[in-house]
Amino acid sequence: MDINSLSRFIQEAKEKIIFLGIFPLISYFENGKFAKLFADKLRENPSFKIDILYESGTEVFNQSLFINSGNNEDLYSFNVLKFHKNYFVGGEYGKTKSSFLGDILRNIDDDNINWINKIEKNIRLFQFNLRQSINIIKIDSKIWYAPIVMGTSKITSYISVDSKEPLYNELVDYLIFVMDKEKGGKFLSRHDEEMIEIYDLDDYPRGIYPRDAFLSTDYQRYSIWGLVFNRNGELLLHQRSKNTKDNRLLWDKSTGGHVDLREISTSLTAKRELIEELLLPEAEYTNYVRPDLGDIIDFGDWSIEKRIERNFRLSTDSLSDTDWIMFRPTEKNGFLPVRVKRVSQRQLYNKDSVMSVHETRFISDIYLYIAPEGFMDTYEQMKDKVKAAEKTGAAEDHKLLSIRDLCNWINHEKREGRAKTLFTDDLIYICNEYHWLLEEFAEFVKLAFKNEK
Amino acid sequence: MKGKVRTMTYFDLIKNSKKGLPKETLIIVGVNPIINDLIRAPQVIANLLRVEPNLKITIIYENETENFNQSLFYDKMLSREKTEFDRLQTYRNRLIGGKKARNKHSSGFIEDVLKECSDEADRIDFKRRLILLQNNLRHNINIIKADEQIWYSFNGVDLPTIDDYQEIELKELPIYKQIVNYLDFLLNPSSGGIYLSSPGDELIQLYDRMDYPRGIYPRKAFYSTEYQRYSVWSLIFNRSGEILLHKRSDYTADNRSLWDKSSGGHIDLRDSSTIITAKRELVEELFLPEAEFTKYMKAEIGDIIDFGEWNIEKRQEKYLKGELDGLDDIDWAVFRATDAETGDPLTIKRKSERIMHFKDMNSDGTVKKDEKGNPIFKEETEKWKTRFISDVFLFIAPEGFSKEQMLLAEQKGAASQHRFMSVSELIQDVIYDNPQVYTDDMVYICNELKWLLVQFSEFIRFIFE
Repeated sequence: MDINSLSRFIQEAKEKIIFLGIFPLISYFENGKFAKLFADKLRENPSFKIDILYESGTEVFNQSLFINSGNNEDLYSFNVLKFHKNYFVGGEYGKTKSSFLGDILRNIDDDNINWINKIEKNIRLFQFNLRQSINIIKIDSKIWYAPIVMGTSKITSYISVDSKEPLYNELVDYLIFVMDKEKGGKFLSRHDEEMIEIYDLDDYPRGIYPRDAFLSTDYQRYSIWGLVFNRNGELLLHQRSKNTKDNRLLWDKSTGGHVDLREISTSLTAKRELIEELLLPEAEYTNYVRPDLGDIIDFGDWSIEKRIERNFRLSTDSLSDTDWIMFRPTEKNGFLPVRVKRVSQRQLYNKDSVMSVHETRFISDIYLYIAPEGFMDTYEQMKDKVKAAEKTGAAEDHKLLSIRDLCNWINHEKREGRAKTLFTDDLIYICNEYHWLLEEFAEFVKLAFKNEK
Repeated sequence: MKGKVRTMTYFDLIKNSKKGLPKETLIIVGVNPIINDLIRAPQVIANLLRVEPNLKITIIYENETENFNQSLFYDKMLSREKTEFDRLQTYRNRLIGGKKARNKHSSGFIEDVLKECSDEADRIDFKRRLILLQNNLRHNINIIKADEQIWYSFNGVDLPTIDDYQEIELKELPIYKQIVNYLDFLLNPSSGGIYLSSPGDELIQLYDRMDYPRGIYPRKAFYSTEYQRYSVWSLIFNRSGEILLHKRSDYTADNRSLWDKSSGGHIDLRDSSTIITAKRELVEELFLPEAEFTKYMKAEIGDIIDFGEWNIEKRQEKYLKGELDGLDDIDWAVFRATDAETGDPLTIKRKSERIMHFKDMNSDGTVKKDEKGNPIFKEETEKWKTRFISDVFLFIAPEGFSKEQMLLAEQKGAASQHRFMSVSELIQDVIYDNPQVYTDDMVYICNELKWLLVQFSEFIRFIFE
């Protein structure tokens, strides 16, 4: 394969092109050659489709490890490869105008403003997160492939496959798998999607995949559950947004979320989620600088066996009025921190608001927080603090409930057969299995701060 | 492509080829497509070794992450064979002799081949010429190379069979040169070889310079400043405020015989938080070097209680004293150090310099040993650099804890010696008197974290006096 014949094949294409892997062709994506060809194509045939599947960050990193082979001809460092990838997708945040799509738009010189919307339907960019063993070009029914031996390949590495060869059907199957949303398609991601580390059932990390990939019980993801108590020992609950597709409008624990790729300890996740979900729903954790929100101080294990702390109230004396207290509960035997591994049922809504139940596996570390005095000790105080979260639609509503009221409510709705339409599966689980923890911690908070009233 | 029937084994493929069986090298990269033929017939490999006395066979197998990711391609409509993760793992276990592969030089498939030997001389010879290694780089392409002949296949929606392997007919084709280069790279111990591991080797998560996890690699891959690994530094104090140091083993290649911080180590692949690592390392390094953390007998050594962040701005000493009251006499307390200015948990990111010793080799490629059977190291050393991200933890030992309690660790060879020093003695010795006997990390700690050592030691004296 060379660029002249590839250009000719693209010019002659009738319906559809798929590229799996962009690095062997990166210079043509960058020098305007493809942008012009694709623009011409779209002008001539407005229903023409191009799918471009580009390498994931981890794939790029692992390709870069071949660089110390001493044979540096076609090998590039991680930073160089990442630069080219970002140039293609439009920077870390993937802005259409600064991406390859922008280059195509600039080639379409008519003033039709609808192009920008149209182009994203005709030309789709996806990140390929599965192991990539080959680069493929498919133009209508013609297929070429370039095996990835070491690092990136070149345009000359592409080999054409005759439709009579068995390999042809293998590659067709491969592309069917990759592009089908129900199959490999769930492992594709858009540039701005949240990516999560995947764990096998023995808890070993095995790669990075988008959220949609996790609706399976074959593997797990890591999360934290945050339980926020006020100084009366009441637990904060939130009702999930009416705009979310996952567990829409169900009542849930105070906070929670995935462990981010760069969080080496779940305590970091616990702090971040408290800030993002409750205090500053619109903010990025790292930009969190408002001194009036106080610090979150990690007090370590909460173990009634080992930390009786009859004078715990005193330990909090040197905290600022706005500081939060955070604990990690330990199991009843007092040694291992509480870590829940379970299959969770999720109610998922599609575009037409039709709900279906899916199973997914979570490992969840539990954290307990005590809010600062006066922060949410009354319903009014609480509502005032969460109004930003409710206004932006991050959460629909919030409640403060004593543990007894919460469990009575859940039990009542269970008897009425409505529990699953009102509460998340996780919340029902916590009330069943960690009732002791909720009750004991609420009592501890009440006891510690009782003299404040 | 469902319903395809396999017609030959890998051995047939090689045997029926134009050039026939190899005389010098047989290299197999990627065993999943041929695993059953390979494992069920160790005599095939044994015969090859017996017939050709100069033949060297190298088998490079898929790592567990590769198996996991291959299993994600399974689709019940499109795939002809179910390649679940558990199944691929079972194959791998058969090849290397169990998940943990305790005896890394003679277990699993290698042992099966060696059983075909008639005498000890054969065994030694076969062992030298049959090599089994795990590939921890991306496994993109399955390769069989018999002398100059090369076949390759790649994984689609399921595993290829031997019929899917394509022979490269012409050496002039770019793919031939690419594969030769790739194999040269992989089999060169100082280039791609650093990413290969033997069954049972410790593997560590690798982080790029932006702290994103990027895969799992063996320890020897990390002597590079292009990427990082994560560890904990544990500073252990007794109740008089003295800090514990340990002297590294005399038989380790990396920072041999140097004095180092109390304890520390890599984050295990399954540790979800560095506090878990810190607790585990304490148990393993000080008490039960050979034991599994989860099985440790807590009655003997007490609990390790996490008291959270040590931040005396927010948690004043006089109040913390009350918090420590509930500890039993044999319990340990651990705190996470925090940054003096920001109050955030303290994490050190740095390039650490390691003094490397190299084992002295005999002419036949074996390691020279002294009369006790310990390896002999060469005189000359090199300085290698490696990048660490390290979370800092502070431990308070139980009442009456002394260095004699670490004798077990010393006997097991994990460390050669331990000692307690007051912080002022330590700083004098590390910075002024004997910096050459300390690790680079220790010099860094005494320079940059002096405030932490002094303050925490004072805090302990205040609490327990």
